[in-house]
Amino acid sequence: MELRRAVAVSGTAHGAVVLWALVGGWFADPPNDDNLSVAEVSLVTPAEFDALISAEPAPVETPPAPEPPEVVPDPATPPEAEAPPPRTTQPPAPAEVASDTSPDLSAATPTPVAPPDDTPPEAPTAPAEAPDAAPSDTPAPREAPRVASQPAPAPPPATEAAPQVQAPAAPSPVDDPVLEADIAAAPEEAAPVIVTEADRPAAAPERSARPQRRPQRVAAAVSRPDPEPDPEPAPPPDPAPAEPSPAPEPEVPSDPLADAIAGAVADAIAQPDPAPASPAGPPLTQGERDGLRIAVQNCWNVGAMSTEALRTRVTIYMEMTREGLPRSDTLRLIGFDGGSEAAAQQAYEFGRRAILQCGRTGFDLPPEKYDHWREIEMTFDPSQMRAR
Amino acid sequence: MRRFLAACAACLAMWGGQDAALAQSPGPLRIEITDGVIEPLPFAVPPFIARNDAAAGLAVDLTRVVAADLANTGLFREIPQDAHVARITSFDAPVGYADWKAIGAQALITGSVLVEPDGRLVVQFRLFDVFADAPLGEGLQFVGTAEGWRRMAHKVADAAYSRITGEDPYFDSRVVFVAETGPKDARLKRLAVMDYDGANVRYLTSSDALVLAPRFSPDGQRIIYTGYESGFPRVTVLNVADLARRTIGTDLENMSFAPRFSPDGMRVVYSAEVAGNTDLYALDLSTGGTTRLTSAPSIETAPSFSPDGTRIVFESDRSGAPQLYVMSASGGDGQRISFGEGRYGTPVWSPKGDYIAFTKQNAGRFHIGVMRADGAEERLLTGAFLDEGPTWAPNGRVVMFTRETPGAAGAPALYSVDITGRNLQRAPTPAAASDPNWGPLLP
Repeated sequence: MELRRAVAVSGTAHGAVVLWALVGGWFADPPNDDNLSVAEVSLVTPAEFDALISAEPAPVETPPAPEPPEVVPDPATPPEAEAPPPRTTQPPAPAEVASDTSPDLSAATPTPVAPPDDTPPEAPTAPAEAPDAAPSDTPAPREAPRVASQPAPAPPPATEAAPQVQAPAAPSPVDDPVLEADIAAAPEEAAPVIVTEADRPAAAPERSARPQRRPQRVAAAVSRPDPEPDPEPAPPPDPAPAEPSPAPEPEVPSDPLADAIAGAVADAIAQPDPAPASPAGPPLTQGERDGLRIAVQNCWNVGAMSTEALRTRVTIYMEMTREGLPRSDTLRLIGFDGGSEAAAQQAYEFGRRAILQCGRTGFDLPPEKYDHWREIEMTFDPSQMRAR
Repeated sequence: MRRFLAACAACLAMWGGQDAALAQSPGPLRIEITDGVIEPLPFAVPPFIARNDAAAGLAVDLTRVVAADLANTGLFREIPQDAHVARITSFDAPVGYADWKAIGAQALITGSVLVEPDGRLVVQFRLFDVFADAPLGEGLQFVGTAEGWRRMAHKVADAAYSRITGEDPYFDSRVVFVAETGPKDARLKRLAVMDYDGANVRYLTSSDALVLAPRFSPDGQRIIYTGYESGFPRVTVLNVADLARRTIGTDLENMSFAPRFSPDGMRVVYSAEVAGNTDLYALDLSTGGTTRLTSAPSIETAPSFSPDGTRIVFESDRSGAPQLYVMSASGGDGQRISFGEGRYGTPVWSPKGDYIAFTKQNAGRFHIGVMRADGAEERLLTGAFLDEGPTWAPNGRVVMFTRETPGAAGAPALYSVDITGRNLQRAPTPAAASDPNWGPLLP
């Protein structure tokens, strides 16, 4: 009896195995064999891709010089057009027009205010990265802004010396007008980035450096004129193996797929490497958060706030420097509720004043946790203050 | 099979990678601020630049009026000029924000004054948000006569006030009130008008006849009040420009009082006693036609229109004690909105429409308070021996009223208080004063 049962079990099991062997393939093997896209996605890093694009068609074989100017501008222009609008709308919006026009006394004409400073923020024209924030797939755009307005005459020998010479170029005691023109024409961005990437791809790919995860908020960061605090982005250094997945090809003859997968796995494992100091570490403690909150609320003076603004809750976004200073040009209103837009603007002004006033010497935040407070969204809720 | 395993491996790898990436970008730190401080906002007004010799004196005076306007609100605190680190020597020179930050100024007002050859006065000003290192709005220029310099100063202060607080302006406005002289039991009363800050007092009537409850028309050109010129209380309209007066209403046998204009200035609503019963009536100023709005055996009085002209709040003792009611502007029974302890009277609808101010008497004290139009959120702003007769500033942020001190030597005076209940202060008047009514913002 028991024997019969054992035979039955065994027979069923074997039958199942045979059946799986026959039919299982249908499930295991998808009809189309190409998984190639997986390999490509994981292996192409932004830096590599940039290099590829800047070098453009067939970077390996064809001489690098001629292409960049032609190919780059085309794809880049359209995304640029999209990026700027959202950004520009917010900052300017002064809505005082109504009160300004009222005065009767006769001509209440707004004088042409030329309060001096406000010019610096021009520099960051480069909206190049804006596309980064919105569209995810086709990253072509980055080039356009780099290709400076000038068509770049590009005398070959000058290119290498240029980067160093150009930086200090300001003094310009010398005479030759040509050099000056160059300096002006080859601004900060154009020369260094494209040149390095395009030139070195051939150089030894010491390792497949899956370089730095992209700086998350490139769009925001770039639009500001902040030269100093771009700690990590530094993409140029690594030579990035020009081709997406080519390295392993020669060795293993038959299984490209396996190689690709292996590569992906290796990348994933190797990831911590490239971004040197960026692991965020433990989050801020409650005490650290409270410290920041108290520091700001000590300066949040709602005494002169309008009654409507006192009913409006606003959220302000800001970026911080490593020293704990709020970057004043990054402050912006990102949300409100409870009042009109005008009231929200007023409430925002009061919140901004509090942040800037109490943050002018830097907030006391742990530097080792910079990644946790590099961006802050601060909500000001005056409901309790209203009741006082 | 191998493909399957490989795909699994790839997924794992990618998942792991994503995870690592997430760990590296924690996202923005979110902080919520619910507590703060309530203090006057510190501002600096360095002396306005006189662009020619003729403007020297005016520049100083203008600066002082601007500073006083802002400081008197209680919302701002002036940083004395001798504490300034920086000196403004040119209206167009760049502002050294650091110097103003150093003294804690959050707002900076600079200005210049020029008297042109034809006598016209040109005032320019700029407002700066010191901690934003930027101007707050555009610079403005006002041109007027030298005699109107105070108004120009008020305009400058109004612009600064509005830009900083978000409230509508109100400094360039006037108040009509009853000026009182003589002993308490034989007061002489006459109408007077002054700037909101007590300057430029001007008397509109003589003290021959008693006058009560003056109210500005919406355009500020006329004043309606209860006058006793005929020895009998009558609603009278006075033209501010030429002081011409006329009694309105044709029924000369009945008392009429507590008049008030509608928001469009075309109608007047008032109380009249007919056959021993007081009700509300509306008079169409263009046709002279009168409409009875209430018909109850009780006393209905102190009507006030809502800013949109569709409703009227009034006082009635139909429930046994004076309470507040709201009805349609076309009349009706109305709906009671006051339910607290005590007696409520003299309701006035805010120009913004959000609150109704009133007088409340309870437990032997008088209060000025505000409540929503449906009676909600009642708050008392003041409390004293006798506070009564509130009137709103044109922006609905400040309430002025009469406060009378007790005793034989007691006298009424005008006070104002912020709608928050802070910044109670006396309005300067040359003598005793009562029944204030705040006019519209001047054009």
